[in-house]
Amino acid sequence: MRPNGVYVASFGSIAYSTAGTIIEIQASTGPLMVEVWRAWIGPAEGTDPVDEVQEIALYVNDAATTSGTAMSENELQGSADAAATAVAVRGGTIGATPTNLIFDAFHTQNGWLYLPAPEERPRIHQAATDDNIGLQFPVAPDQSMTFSGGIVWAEYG
Amino acid sequence: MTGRQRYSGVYVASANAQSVPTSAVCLIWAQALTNTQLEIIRCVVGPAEGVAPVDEVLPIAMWITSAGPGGSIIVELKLQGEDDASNNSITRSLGDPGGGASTYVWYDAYHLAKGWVFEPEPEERPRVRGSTGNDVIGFDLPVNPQSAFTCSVSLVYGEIEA
Repeated sequence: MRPNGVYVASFGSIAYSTAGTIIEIQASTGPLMVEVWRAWIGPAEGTDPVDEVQEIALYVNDAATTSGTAMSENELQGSADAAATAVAVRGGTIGATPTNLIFDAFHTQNGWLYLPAPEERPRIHQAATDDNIGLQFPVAPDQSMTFSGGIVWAEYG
Repeated sequence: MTGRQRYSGVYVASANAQSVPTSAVCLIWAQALTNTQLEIIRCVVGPAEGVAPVDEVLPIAMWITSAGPGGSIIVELKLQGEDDASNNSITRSLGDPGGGASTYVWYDAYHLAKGWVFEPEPEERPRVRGSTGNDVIGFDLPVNPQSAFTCSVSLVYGEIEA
């Protein structure tokens, strides 16, 4: 099955200090299926690297993150210039109790990469029970840190 | 439509001993010329070289735009394909920052003692098309490094000719 397009939403040098959404995609307009291909958090930036192992989780849920910052969806491959049917946000408050699919942790000097094999790429469907997918800090960082990160997804339908 | 296409050639442009200043800089960029599509297979930024490794985490970003930002010529060398040298693309290093908040599409960061690799899956390789508004792709250090350093930089890409 070939996607309509492959997109990236990425943020640079944003400070995070609380538990909550790092980045989230919302399948906003149907018919649409969104498949996540990659997600990452860069190492904590600066001249005095932070020495901490931070918990992270990939989640799905049924309500969009609130008070997040809208992000641009940029095309990597495909025929459409921008993803009009998926909305990406960073930061904000998770909109509904999330179902955490994957728990992990990373040293803040290394960063974190989620790169599933094709057969295990998580999918969300517009108007389904869980039509949001994202990364969150389940636990607040010990101190405010500045990260870059992003998410790559394919759209079908 | 997405999907893998057969490349007319696969090339590498690599430069060593790049003197990165204490200002924002484009480390390496490539431009697809007329009737050519260019697809990034890999970008590698080596660690900061020297006997006292730099203890700093620096942001790095990829941008796609319409104008090449100058810099030093890098010779494109063939890895696979029919043509000996790439006559359908241009690569440069250490140019002016080519991106900005409006054209950066991929943000990351890396520890200068480790280096950085961008290796997208085949289906997500960013692609630019010659003679369009977006035929240039590059990798910037968008934030000033605390101190100047020396590193290597490489770009591997495939060309799809019309």
